[in-house]
Amino acid sequence: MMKQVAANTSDYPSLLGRTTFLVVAVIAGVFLLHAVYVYSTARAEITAGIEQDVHETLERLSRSIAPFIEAYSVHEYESLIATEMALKQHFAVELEDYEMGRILGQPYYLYGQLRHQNGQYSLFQERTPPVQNELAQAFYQASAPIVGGNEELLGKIRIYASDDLLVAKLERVVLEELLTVLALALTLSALLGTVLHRSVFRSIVAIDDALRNKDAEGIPLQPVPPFQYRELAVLSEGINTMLDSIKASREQLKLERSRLENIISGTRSGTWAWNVQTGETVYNKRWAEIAGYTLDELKPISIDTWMNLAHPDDLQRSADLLERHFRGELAYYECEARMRHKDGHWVWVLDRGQVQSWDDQGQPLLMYGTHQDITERKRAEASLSMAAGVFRHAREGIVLTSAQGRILDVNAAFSALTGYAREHVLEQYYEDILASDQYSRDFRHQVLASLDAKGVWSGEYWIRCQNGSLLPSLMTIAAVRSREGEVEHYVTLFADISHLKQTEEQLRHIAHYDPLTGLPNRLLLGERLQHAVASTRRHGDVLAVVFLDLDGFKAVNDTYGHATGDELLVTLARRMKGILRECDTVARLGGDEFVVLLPELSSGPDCKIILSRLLSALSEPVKLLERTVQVSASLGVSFYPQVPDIDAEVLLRQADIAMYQAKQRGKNQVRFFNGLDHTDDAMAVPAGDQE
Amino acid sequence: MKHSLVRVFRALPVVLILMLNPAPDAAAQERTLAYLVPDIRIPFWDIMARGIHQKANELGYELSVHSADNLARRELEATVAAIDSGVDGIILSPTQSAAAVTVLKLAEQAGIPVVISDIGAKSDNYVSYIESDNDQGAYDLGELLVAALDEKGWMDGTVGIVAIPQKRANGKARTEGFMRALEEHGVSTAGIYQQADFSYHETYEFSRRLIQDNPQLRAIWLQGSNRYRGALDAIWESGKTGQILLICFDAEPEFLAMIRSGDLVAAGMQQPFLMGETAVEAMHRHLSGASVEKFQRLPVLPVHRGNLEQLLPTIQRNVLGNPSQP
Repeated sequence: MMKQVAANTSDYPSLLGRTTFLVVAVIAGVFLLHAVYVYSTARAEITAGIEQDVHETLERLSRSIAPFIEAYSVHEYESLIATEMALKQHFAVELEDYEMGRILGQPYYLYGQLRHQNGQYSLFQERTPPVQNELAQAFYQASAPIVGGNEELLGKIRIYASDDLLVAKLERVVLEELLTVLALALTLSALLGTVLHRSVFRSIVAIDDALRNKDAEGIPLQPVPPFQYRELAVLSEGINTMLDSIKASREQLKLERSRLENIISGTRSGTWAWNVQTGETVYNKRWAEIAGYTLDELKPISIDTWMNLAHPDDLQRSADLLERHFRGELAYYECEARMRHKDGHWVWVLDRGQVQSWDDQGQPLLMYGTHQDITERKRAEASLSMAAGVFRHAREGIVLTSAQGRILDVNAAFSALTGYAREHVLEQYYEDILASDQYSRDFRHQVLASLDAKGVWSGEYWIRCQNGSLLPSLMTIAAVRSREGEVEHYVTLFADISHLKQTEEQLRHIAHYDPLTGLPNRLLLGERLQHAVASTRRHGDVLAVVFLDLDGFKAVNDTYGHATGDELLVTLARRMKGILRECDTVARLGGDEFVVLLPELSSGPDCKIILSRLLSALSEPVKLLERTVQVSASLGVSFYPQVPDIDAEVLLRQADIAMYQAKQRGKNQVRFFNGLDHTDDAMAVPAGDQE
Repeated sequence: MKHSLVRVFRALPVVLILMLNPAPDAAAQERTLAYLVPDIRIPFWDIMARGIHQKANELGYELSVHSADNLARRELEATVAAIDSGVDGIILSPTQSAAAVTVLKLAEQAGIPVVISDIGAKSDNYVSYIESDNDQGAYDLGELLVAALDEKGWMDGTVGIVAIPQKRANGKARTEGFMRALEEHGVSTAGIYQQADFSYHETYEFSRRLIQDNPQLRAIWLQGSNRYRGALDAIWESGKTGQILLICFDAEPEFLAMIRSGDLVAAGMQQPFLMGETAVEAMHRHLSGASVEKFQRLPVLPVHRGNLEQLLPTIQRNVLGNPSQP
């Protein structure tokens, strides 16, 4: 198992501190051993020194005191002994002066000095028990005889040494040694520390400083500086090489990662990494976005996140596909599934992945995959499916063409309406099949302009069928554009409006024609009069408007009934139509009133022939089914153009006025409207001719 | 052999008592004093012993005098003898101030008070210390010598000194007092020699060296009196008699004539008889329960030709120990 790395490098011990501690410890240890050695040596030396000191004192005092004893200079030798004791700090001294003893009548004169704990000496001249107890504690003692110049035994001196001195000296030795050890240890430690710091640790610290100054990913920003010493220089070079390599690898990794992220971002794919055995799963931001969430909103994140969001119906299918992938039956896992969006609706995702690592037992371990939001595609598929149904079953003809106008498909209704088999029109140009000669080039441009501007054109269109007939249709052409706005297809949908056209024609006929005679009625007359005026004005010729009223019709009608009257009217209408030119119009205003339009006359008189024929034709007897009747007609004529110009209504009224004049002048004649008296005498000629 | 000698020396004080106190009064039978003297043969100590005897007799003390003949052993033996004899007090003129320490220690152990008369002791366990005012006496001598040199117009001359041992308190005091007087008058010293054996030859030799080594020498000062002859002989042999003055501390009987004749400029005369008397008085006061001054300095008489006759009665009694002479 990988050793856990400490979170913070400050938790690691300092190499400088540890090394310095070890150096100090070693130095202190060595010096302490040395101190122990010095202590034992010093003890032996001090002990020997004390003993030697005692013997030297004995020798010196025994030699020095002898003359004083011989001279009975008691105070002198006592002073000498006191001086020696003060100098040598012996524990005690005893002098037995035999000469002085003789004077005193005693075996000897005793002079003694005993040092107390305060360092002061006290005298004693008797060996009292307390004195003896004190002397018994002496560490070392030695005595020497005092011999006079003639070898006479003058006395004896004994020196006592206590271990106080030994202890004090040893304490001093220990103290001095400890101080020395301390001073040397500190000095050596400081020196070693300085040397180590200068030669090694400063370099290591420089490396440490360089390595500490790192970016967010823990890679040092600056290279390790070069060093004076070979080992450190090699180390520095090695680290820098590694850093360069790491940085290059990282840059490459960044580049690849950036590419991968760009690809993922570009494809707007959600990604997931799934530890199959632990359930631990990592999703990217897009994965959550597809379902309308942020990653934080989905926490805690695991494979359950997916299972909770997935549609239960799809989840089972997903599990089945996964299992097949795990068993090796599928190279990849791929499943279209629904996820519940945060807003509550379902979004479709294309869930794809592959196991990348397997454990020792062959069980899947790590699996990686993507989510692709295919909701739009699914919606499009549904639309297409629905459109396909419409396409197949619609009663309207539907033509799919490419942007270039080639027919890509047609439905069955198209074939039924136009007679073209589907196979016959596929890949044919639309216009070659469906264009009608009756449409001008402008019309075609209008259609294309509408498609370009609005994306649609709708209108009536006469389709040329395979048999050459024209099929009236209500056509809608829609331009199907790509996201970029480019036209990809055109969809043409047309419905057969033949029956509508027939009905329309019937209605139009009813509105414009007299139902009895089949002649244009007043409405159609108005239109044609307007047209004739405009045409006359355009062509510069003459229009004659003839107001015609039958003479005697009322009597026939009253005498023989309306049926006879109607039958008469129908016959006379037929006679008028037979007389008039193609361009002429005869209309029934109502009752026995008619109006005849005579356009394209080179002059007014040109109409006299026609007028004459009309008078003749109308006045001839008419054989009806049961009888023959006869009537005549009074005609009033007005001309266009006039100065000043007049409109159609005035023109018609003028003709009416002229007809009235004809009626007044005896009927069965023609009167021309002329100026102030409203009649033109000259125009009476025809009437005169008739007469 | 030694024991027989001890007995002899222990019997000596009795002899001296018989010699010095042929008719003791009745009161002295109860109180006895011992005087330990370095050498009774020396006039100074003899005169002091007489002063002690005089005063002891007056105060009714029986006195035994123990001369050590300048031997420490004998001084100690005398001390032990005095202690053993049960004296009430000891008057001590020690052979050396150091030797007095042992005497004082033995006396103290025996509970016997000690009054020291001259010399001094290197301890202070005594009742009183009687001494001459050596410093004052020496200063006065210096003044007298300066006056004599000035009178002769020899103030630019130098003065040589033959001193007693300077480790002794009296020697040191004499040198300091004398030097102070010379320094006050701008007189230089030619050198100083310390006596060791107090012999004639020693004094002669020191004087000869001073004369030989110091052509400007105009005076020799002897801190002791008994070997003055050596100095005089050295001056005479150098041919400078009359050109080099002689001045002495202490006194000898013949000094009176020498001062009168001018052979001796002056002498600082201690008063040993008075010192002995003063010591006994101090002991008496102590034994009587009165307070006693620890130190008592007696004046040294600066005797020169100008005051000799005036001081002669005092000199005779206190200096020369002749109380009966006028």
